[in-house]
Amino acid sequence: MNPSVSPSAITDMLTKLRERLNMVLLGKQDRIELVLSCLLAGGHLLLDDLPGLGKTTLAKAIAACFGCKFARIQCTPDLLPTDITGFNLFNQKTREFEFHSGPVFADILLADEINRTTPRTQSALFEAMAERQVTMDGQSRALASTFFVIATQNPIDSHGAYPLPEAQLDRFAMKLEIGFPDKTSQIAILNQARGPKANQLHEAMLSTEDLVMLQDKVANCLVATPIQEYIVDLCEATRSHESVVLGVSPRGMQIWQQVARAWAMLQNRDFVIPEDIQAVAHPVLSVRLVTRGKTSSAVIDSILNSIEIPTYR
Amino acid sequence: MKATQPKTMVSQQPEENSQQANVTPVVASQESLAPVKPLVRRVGPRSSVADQNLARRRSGALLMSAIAVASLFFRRMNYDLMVCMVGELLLGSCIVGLLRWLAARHAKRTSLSSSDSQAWVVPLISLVLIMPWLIDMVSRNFGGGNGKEIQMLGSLAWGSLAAAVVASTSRSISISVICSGFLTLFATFISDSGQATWFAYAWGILCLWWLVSNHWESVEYQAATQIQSAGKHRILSLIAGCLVFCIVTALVSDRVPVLRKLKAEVMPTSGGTTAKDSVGRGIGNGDALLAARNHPTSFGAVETDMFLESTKPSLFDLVSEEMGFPRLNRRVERAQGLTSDENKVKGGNFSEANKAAGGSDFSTQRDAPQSREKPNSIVGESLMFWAGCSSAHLAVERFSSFDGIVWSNGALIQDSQSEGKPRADALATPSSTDVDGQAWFYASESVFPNETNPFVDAIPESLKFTRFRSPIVPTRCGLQMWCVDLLDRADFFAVDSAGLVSMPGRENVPDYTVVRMINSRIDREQVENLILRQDPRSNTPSLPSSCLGQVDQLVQKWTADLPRSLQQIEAVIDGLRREFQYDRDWSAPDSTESAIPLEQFLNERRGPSYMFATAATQMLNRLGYETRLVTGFYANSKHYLSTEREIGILPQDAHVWLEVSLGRNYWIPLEPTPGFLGEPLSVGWWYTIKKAKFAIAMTLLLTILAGLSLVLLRGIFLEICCQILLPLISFASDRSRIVWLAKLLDLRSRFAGVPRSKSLALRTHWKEICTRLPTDTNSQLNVFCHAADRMCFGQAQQLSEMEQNAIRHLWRRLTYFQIRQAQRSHLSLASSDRTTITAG
Repeated sequence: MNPSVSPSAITDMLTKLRERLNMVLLGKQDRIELVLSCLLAGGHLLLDDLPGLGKTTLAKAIAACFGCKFARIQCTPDLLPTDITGFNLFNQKTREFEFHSGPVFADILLADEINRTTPRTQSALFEAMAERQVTMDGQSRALASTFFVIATQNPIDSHGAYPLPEAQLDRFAMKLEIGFPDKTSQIAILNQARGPKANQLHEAMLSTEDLVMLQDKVANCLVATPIQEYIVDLCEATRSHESVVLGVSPRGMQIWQQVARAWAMLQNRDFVIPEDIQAVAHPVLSVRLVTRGKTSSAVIDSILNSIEIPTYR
Repeated sequence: MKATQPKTMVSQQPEENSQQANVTPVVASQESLAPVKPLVRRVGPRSSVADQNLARRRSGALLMSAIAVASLFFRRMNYDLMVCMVGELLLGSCIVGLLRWLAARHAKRTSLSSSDSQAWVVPLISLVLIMPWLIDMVSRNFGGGNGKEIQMLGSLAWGSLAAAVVASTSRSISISVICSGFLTLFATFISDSGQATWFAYAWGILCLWWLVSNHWESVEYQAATQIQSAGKHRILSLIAGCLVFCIVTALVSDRVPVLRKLKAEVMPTSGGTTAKDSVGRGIGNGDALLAARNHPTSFGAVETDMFLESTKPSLFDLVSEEMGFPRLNRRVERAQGLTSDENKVKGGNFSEANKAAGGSDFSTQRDAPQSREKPNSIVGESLMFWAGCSSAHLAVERFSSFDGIVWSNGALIQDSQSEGKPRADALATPSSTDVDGQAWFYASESVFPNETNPFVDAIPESLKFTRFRSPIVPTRCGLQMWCVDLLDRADFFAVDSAGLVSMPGRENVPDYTVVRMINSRIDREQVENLILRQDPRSNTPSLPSSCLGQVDQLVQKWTADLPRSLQQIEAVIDGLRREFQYDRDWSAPDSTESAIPLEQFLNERRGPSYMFATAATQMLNRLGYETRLVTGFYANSKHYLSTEREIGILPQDAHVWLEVSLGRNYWIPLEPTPGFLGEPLSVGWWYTIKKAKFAIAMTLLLTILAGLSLVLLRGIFLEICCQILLPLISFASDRSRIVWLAKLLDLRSRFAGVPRSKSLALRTHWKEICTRLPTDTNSQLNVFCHAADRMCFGQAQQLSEMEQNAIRHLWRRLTYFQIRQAQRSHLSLASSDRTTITAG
């Protein structure tokens, strides 16, 4: 962490980051804000959307921005845990086992169509996501501190899919739907430059250290007691809501606070206000609320409307 | 194998809670090893079956408790107030319903942490337990009420219902069943009505069903995965059980002595069937025999030697001791001036003043009474016990004529003399009527409420005699009926023309007699009507002119220009109470023959109760009202015995007051002596409204006007206050300024018809309505919101100059009117947009 970084420098970095990602994913400023808040909060992202909407492009662009190591797994039913984590191979010459690291040792990992692989393989990935380490033959290997998973799942064509269980969904910070861009953006996509200009988008503009520094800044963002009480009240409300089968866990509560901090920093603030909590409520809660009878969006809206916002006092 | 393990673990938990924990491991292992088979009876996992069983048991216990409550209410239905019973039922049902809701909420909780709903359970159960006692307190004020044992049973009934509702284990359900069983059977035993046994039968059948169900369910629960439904067996076994029970009962009911006794309804209670009034304890139904055996003088027993040789003071001695003895010279003179018959009668009365009602006299010229000692024990020294309202005036003698010094009931003497019959013949035997097997006596039909009677309602009161030495039964004005338990002969009583009830031919009212009375309250509206209809009566003054002048002067002073009305009477009574002092030890100075005690009383402005009453009668006579003096007892609330809920009437409570005639032989008591409470005149709500109609109308009008102006001009009022308070905000801290302005903005937007939702942040709310506000106000709002966030949720400690300016600006400029204008222009724009769209 570099404490000497001035707030204006941070604002510059975030502006650059936004501009770059907005050039990659056209007409989706609000989604990019949320993706950035997830990244800066140190959480993992689940993209629940149709193919061809720019999920891979976005992941690659994020990796490119920070010059990070990027890896991509196409999840299939025959994918094995070792295909993700890596494996020990016996070297005949040295007469020793050598570890061949898997894609999980990248900084940013795109797990495409995660619900296509078996639960066993999924759980191998989830250990890495939760612990940020991989244990192989009794030896733990730490992953990069900026390890960021963008998992995607396809809401249609559920035949032969292994839906993620609730406990594992809780490991993601948020779930997003990118959705189709508007007409202007679609025309812009058609006219998007190819060749050298496109390559420019893949040049690193920030370092991994910058990302670590930004994540540290987020962790130091102030959350006043009334705001924390507000979060707790909202979480309590999810637990007692008639249409909610499974409410927000304490881990979910922590993630919500962290994402709200990141959101506050993206708004150039070093403290969280109630609007930050509300702004990230939908993506954070939709991944971890199990509802019945109503859509999770309607339930989240009703919970947000039922709890009194902290007043100035 | 691995997959079934969690299921087994889950299933053990409720089993430990419910029953048969010893068989669980075997069953669990069987289940885990058994191949998966289709379930016939059990549709869910083991834990949910246990929950279903518990719910079924709970509903059974709930029904049984409901029967227990119903049986208790059926027992109380004979005598308790229906309103109070319905109130108790509603309140109890609400609390029990609330408990059920809380229990359901607690069961549905998503985390294991104790929820808020749990915290309410204990206070609610406590409330339901004390509720019968609270209701009873209210009920007593309206003439209802219960014995303490019935209240305890009530607590038990509601407690068992609450236990059934909140029970989460089968053990607590069983406790509820035991309570309800005891209660139903006990309530049936103590009930008078044979129909009460139906509750016991219903409870028995339900309990049988419940036990059978429990047995079958436990069998099913312990069984392996597959079992046939046992519903058919249950019904068959229940029907068989009921048949056997009925047949055996029919066969043995008349042969077993215990059952015969039960059929005859011998009740193991302390109060017999008169559970509601504590006065009847030990005297009432069934126990009267015991009372008679223990006390030879109790009612129904013959007059024994012991009774005749009593050394207890007579009523006459008692009154004289309390008020001072009459001076002898007057009495001798008076005796000389009377005829021999009169002399005989009156002479007898001097020595034995109260052998029968009427015929005595009362002198206002008396010696000072003996110094009074404080009673050592109210219970030990009481003449009688009054279970009724405090400050009741219990009349023993009434005097209608006054010669300036001595009161006598001369009219009565004259009547009997003119007819040439003994005075005892002026006494009439009361009529009687049968109410639920008990004879009730009444003087005449006119005592019952009718359209002209000032005495309305029926208030049950009673008097228990212990050492009262007079055959006259002290009664209140407005007595409708009276009775003595087990007594049905009307000739035991006599009523004289003044309405006094006595027991002719007896030395006194027998000890331990309880006289129950139905009294009335006095309706003010009727009293006023009767006084207005009554013509003034011209009374021949019996006072010397000097005294008369004083009386007239005071009357003139107090009544001034008041017309003939109740207010006029009250003005006289109030004047006496206000300007004169009560002095029990006062006596008329023994000076000359012509000294009139009343004159001295008026001069000294102090005296005992008989002087107050005498003065009041003379004053009211001057105004044309017919009055009479009454001696008797005042039910002093200081002698209230909280355990018995009775007022002890001591010799010290002997008191004198007056009654005023309303015509048609209606008299109402008046209390002119300060320190004694008068009989209250009750006022109906309709009468109150009629009297205060102008005041009510004016108040309503003013309230409506004030409310309307407040609503219509709320913005102006608010802004005036804001502008007045504006200089004050300079003295407030930065944080206070922010808090105040935030509240003010909320208030203004609410007044302008755009209230902020509680879940909406201030900034978001204003973003929606500020599109039409001036730009500078908009930017100042942004500055304020940012500053408020910094101060309240960030680490900022003080405001910048710009932020302070913004606060002042918004306080002054972002007024109610500006918001309304912005809102209106927004609405008009929206409607024009709609019009354009429609036209397009």
